[in-house]
Amino acid sequence: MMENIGIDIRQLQKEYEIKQDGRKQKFMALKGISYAIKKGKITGIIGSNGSGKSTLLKILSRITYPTAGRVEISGNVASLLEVGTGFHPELSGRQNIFLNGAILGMSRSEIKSKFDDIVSFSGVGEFIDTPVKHYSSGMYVRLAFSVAANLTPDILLVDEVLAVGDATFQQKCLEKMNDASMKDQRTVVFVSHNMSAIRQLCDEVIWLKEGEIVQAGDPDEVTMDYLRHMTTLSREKQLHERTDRNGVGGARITKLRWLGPTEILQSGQEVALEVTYRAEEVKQIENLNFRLNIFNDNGEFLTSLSNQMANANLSEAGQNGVCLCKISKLPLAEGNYYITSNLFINGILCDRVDRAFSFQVLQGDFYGSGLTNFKKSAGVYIDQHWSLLNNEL
Amino acid sequence: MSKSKTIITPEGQNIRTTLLELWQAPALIRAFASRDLHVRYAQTYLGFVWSIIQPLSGLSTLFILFFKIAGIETGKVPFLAFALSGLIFWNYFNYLLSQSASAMVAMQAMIKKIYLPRLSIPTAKALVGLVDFGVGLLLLVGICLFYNISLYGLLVFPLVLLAIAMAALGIGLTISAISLRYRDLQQIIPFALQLLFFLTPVAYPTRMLSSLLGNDWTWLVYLNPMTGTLEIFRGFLFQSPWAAEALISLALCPVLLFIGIWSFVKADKKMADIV
Repeated sequence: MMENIGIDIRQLQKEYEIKQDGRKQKFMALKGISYAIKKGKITGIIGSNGSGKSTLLKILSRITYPTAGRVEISGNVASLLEVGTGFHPELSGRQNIFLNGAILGMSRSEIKSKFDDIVSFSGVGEFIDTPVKHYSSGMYVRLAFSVAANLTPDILLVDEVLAVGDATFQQKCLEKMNDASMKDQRTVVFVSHNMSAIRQLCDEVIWLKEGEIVQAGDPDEVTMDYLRHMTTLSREKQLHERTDRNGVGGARITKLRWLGPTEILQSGQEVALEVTYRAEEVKQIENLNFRLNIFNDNGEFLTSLSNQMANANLSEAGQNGVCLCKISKLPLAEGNYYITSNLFINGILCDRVDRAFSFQVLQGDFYGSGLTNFKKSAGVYIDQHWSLLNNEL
Repeated sequence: MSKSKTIITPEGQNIRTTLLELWQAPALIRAFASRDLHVRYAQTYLGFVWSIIQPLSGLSTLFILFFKIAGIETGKVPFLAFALSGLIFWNYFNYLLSQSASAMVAMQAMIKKIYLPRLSIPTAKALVGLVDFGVGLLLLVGICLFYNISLYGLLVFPLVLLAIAMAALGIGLTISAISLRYRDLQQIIPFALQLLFFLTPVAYPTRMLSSLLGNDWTWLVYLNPMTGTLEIFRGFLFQSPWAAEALISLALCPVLLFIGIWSFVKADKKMADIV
């Protein structure tokens, strides 16, 4: 094996057997993947659900075995598919550090020597001897992550664990990971849906789709291609086939689609949301009201697009139609969003679909100032106008 | 940077690498054991006192059922000493077998999330059981002193305990491997152990069991690993004779352990995919 290769993956295959209606079915989660992951670098793995990225990570972590192929890993491995594995609510923070550390493969003396670092990194402080069942969920996660962050394996496998904790703590963890790779020449493999984190951290990115590598290489290039692929898929997503609907029925939103100057949405662009509906079973439409609630990736409600709120009553609406909601400057910062759609006719909720439509927004120059760095925490842009009122004080 | 190299192939682990990994993970075994001990009496009012109450109440039950009601004869040996000398080993066997048999199913969440030497989980249970055994042993010492029984014979206990631990772990691991696919086994364990308790000479002498079978079939009772090991222990402690067939039980213990480890390693490969 070459000196600068940390993980050598050769023709890796994984087949699962799924029982369906009493019949055994085979499913190939990985279809013969080969890749050499470089030593001392951070390599990201992206792909939609079911692309095989978790299976790959599980094989590298030795949780499951491949069906064919071979992996050679130089150095010892620690995997973080979740933080706080084995944490027990009745045990104190101190006891849990020792337990979790041992589960992650640390020796007792290693844990002892890092104990103070772990405690101070977590910020749990005086509560270290309190059973963790009394911790707030934030404290619990911070303590769990602090143990993991103080691991010093040659190779660290991380799965989406950064999706926990508050933004400041997440940032602290990202920095710690970056540090680890730079200073100690640690190889990190990082699976995530968070494109910002991937682009911020990784030296190389692998894009998996249906158990095969689509593309690998430069993080900016690969993530852009991946996002382009994903948005073309989701921008024209047919809503009418969804059956998980609420409301009294009789009418439904059948399609949501972004229209914009470029293929991918960017902050600050002039865009429009096209809404297609069918209301054939409603005899008389007096009052048509769309309420499209926008949520961020964490499920936090941000805002609504609603013709009623915007004081536009679509009084001449027919039984089938297409509406357009224009947004002159898209105020959403880079990130993933989804829309929960509601259709009210004559004041009655006819159709509601949770996560009807998801989309991604890339960084853009909202203010036209060239300053676009909004990476540290996602949010919204507000049109703002500054002026100097009095310069004598 | 360490020189170690990990190679992942479809073959998975074998018995040698599994045991080697277990040997290299004393911190993990210790951590699991200490967790179990801490959690065990968390939020109980009496705490550790339960470890004393439990064998005492067990012994009282045996005394009433087997001695007062059934009128079991234990020869020159006082009934309480006889019964307790069996009970402490039975309790350890019972604990270790049932815990190791259910350990994998109980820890499936962890098994899906992280790789660790999985044998460390049941191995830790063998250590946890030692606490209760230690308490029981102290009670036995007290009773022996009370009845003026020489304590020399007690020195054989580590050997007997080791054999019983092997048997319990072996059976437990086999069950845990099979029950990955057939959860039904988990339902049978408590019931099967209860049955086995009555078939094991804990509170009655072995000859009561073997006389039911007749001379030619006596060896059958020693297929229960507890029977012969208890007889040997009592032979040393109470200076009573023990049958040569008791060695069958003793020899069976490492065999059971081997079968357990073998089936566990075989199941290990598929563990994360099934549980």
